[in-house]
Amino acid sequence: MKKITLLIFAIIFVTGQVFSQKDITISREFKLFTNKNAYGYTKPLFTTLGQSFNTSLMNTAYVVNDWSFGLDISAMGMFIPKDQLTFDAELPNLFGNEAVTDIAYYKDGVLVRNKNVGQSIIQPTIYGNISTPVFASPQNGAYPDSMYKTVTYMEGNDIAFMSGLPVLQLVVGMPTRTQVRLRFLTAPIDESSLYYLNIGVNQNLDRVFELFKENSPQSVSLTAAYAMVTRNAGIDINSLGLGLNYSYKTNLGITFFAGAMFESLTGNFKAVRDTVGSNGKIVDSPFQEIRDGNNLTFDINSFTNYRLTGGFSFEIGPIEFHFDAAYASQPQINFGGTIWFFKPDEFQFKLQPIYPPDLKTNKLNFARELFTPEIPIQTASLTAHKERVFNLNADVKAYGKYQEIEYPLEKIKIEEFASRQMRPLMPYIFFDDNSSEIPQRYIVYNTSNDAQNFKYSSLVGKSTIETYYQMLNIYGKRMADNPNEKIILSGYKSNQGKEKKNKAISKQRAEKIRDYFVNVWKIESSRIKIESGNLPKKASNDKDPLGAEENRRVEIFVDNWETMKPIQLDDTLRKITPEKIILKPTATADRGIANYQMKINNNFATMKDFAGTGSPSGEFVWDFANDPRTPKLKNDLTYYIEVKDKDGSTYATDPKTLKLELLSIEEKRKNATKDTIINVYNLILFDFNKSTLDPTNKRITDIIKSEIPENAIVKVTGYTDMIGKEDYNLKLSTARAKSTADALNFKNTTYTGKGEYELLFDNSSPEGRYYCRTVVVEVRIPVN
Amino acid sequence: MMKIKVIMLMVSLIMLSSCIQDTINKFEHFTVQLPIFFKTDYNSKSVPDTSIDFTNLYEYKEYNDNKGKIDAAEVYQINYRIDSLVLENGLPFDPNEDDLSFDSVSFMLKFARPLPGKSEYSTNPEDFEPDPNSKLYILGKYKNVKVKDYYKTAYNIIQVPEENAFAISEGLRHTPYFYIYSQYSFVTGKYPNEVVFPFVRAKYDLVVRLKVKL
Repeated sequence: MKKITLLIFAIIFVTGQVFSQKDITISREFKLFTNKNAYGYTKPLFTTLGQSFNTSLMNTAYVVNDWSFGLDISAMGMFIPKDQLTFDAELPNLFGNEAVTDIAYYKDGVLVRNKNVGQSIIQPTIYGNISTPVFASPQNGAYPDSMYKTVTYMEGNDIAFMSGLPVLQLVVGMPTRTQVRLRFLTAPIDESSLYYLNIGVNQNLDRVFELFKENSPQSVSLTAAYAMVTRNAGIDINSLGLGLNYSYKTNLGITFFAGAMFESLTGNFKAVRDTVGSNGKIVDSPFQEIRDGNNLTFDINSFTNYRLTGGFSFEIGPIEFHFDAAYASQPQINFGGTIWFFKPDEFQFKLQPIYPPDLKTNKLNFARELFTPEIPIQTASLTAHKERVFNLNADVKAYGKYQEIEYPLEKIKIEEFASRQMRPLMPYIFFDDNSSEIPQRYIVYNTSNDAQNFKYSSLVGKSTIETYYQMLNIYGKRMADNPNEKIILSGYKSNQGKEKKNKAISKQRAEKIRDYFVNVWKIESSRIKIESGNLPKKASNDKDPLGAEENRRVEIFVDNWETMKPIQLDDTLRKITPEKIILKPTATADRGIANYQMKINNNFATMKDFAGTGSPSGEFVWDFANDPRTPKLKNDLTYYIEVKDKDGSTYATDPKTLKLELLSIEEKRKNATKDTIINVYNLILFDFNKSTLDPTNKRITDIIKSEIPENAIVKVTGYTDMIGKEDYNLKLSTARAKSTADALNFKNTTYTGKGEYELLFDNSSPEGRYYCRTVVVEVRIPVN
Repeated sequence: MMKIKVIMLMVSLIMLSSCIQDTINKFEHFTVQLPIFFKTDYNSKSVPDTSIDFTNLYEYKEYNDNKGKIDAAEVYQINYRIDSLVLENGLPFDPNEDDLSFDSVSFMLKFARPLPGKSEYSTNPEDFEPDPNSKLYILGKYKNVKVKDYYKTAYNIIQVPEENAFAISEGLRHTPYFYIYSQYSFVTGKYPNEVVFPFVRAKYDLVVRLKVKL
């Protein structure tokens, strides 16, 4: 009989393992259920489960030396310790980054905001209480509102006492004074079977090794147990236990027992995330792993690995009742009874049918989250039929966009500010692949006479990178002005492609720069030392094509600060509001629109026009602030739309006015209105992947520091190039801004990182990338 | 002797069964928190003024998944912020330079009812009207609202008063459609004059707790 039973179990188990392949699926609308959060939330539940495995493995250390056979039914409950009611929940990694989102939460009358929140927040586990919503305010349009917005976590079930897995087990005693307990259960989860198998062996020691006198009421036994819960795709839990037990049987027939056990719970939970939200929308979780649809997977373990058990058992008729309590990860109590069908020399009885309690494993809390809900079907209503009228109509509205905020536009404003600008000079000249010719983007003169006309004032109004392209002339002029100055030119190359075998090219590049200084700027060749090598000392990743580009360069080394210092210029800055002008047209024509044209005019001259065929739709954006003609505006702008239908009829709106408010420096000073001097120090270039200030940068920050008056407001903004992960670059740029702000050590300083979300320069060139690894310090000085 | 054993057995049974019953009761429900996002754009917004926004929880998947099983719904917390403001002079509000405040901004909730012949599942606000039998429940009142403190910040959180939360809870179970009234007071120092802002974008996030029977 026993063999047949075991065989049936084996067949069920093996076939189940082979055929149950369906993955557990979790909707990605569980936007915060990352691996870490799911682990923290469910860990107490799995601990309860694990503890159930090693409960009711023995009622006494004494085992009779003959065959016996019984059925044990037990129920247990665990007291949940306070520290298992909460866990450190993971926050989205861009939460709290002031450039992306401002966050705060309110709990127990206390408000916690932004930086103080950190990267995690205490939230309830499955046994805990109310969760804490984290409110978020997106800061700019680079991140969709739908992603970095308020989030709410799973609530707990407010459970202080939790029932464990009920026990129904076969108990078999053997002549070797060994008692084996076997539990087996199978239940469906998401159309595949879950199997639970638990084997416990209780080996009496005192009789075997004659530790006590014959007929002694004392006994000692060793318990070993193995349990597994598995669902071929999704759940895999293993438990091992090893313990030592002692029991004492009183004259009243009550046996007291105690034991210590080491128990180890290991395992893994895995579910696949569905491809899109079940409502068909794109997944907008703030967690990358959920947006990517990565599997939900986490380890399963318990809080501690030991238990101390004490209890008693007694017999009433054919039933042996037992009650025990244990101190473990979750202190627990356990109660049950063993019905002995056969137990020699003790008693004989009539077999009574026993019905096991209803096993409800599908009540495990995680299971309830895995069901696929019905999607409500929405029906569309028919719009009423309208009579057909041949008409042609159009309208256009203007909107402004300023710092990603869009608003109806009626007025444009140009305000001038006096500004001192500092631009760093990167001492590298980059060359094209396998070429020693100075690339055309660098500005060079053909003759010495031409070079004499170079003036620093020609750099006013230029961008930082346009200034850099004049670097050979800036260095040439500074060397001409300092006749004792000596420089070293070091040529380098990439180790990839054609350059790999072209050993001469490094030197040729350095010589080309030297020749320019000598022939055009009339610098004595003895003042210029040439060096060459393979890869630069601070080489970029040569195997990356972008890195190889950066290694094809000549580096200029100078000892004298006067030659290498940044360019400083007095300039005029213009704050242009709005940054962008957006036209939103509407047009209707019964015969259909053939084409349209929208114009923005200044004094009857068209500054911007949009034209197309068919009906105009959507938005038409003019990058107003970056249009070179904008700073020269003196009059109001007007705009209108003209449409033509397929029958040749035209319709044009009356021009609408965008009033210009122009505030020049002179005007502000003449009218004694409040003004601000805005000094921009676009200066500090960082090494790739570095946020620390090198000695040159420290010297530059000292200069800035000396130019900051007491009433100034300082804003430090960090940037990176586009290489690397977005999140990491955001952190790196923030770290760069912080290093600089710390070095400035000025009270009214704020800092922020933009990462690669705001690239300062074109990253297709090596110098563009280098100049993006920067920090911009803006010093606003109020002037009355 | 037998009496002792029977007493021990009875005590054990009673203790354990009551604990297990408690666990089962607790697991009969679970509670989900549902954030509801309101974004309101106003052109030519005059202040003081009250504006009304309609919400139908049937639009939300979490509500639909569990409707029929919801034992309680509680408005828990509310967060208010200003995302964009164009001043009277036509220029965008600059939190570093402009100083502006409202005496108060209040939020209230009133239940709606579908117009005759309209479905309660409709997401079209035109299909509903304020329920005359519903009270106007105060969710929260922000006083001395300095715009720069509310400008793109997330820390203006109010926990909905318990008595109102419970009162609303009972209504939300059966009437998951309601109006939120946002009441803007005078601009501080401008009383009794009305101020017109060309554009205002305000956002508020409402967290609703839904207690669902398993």
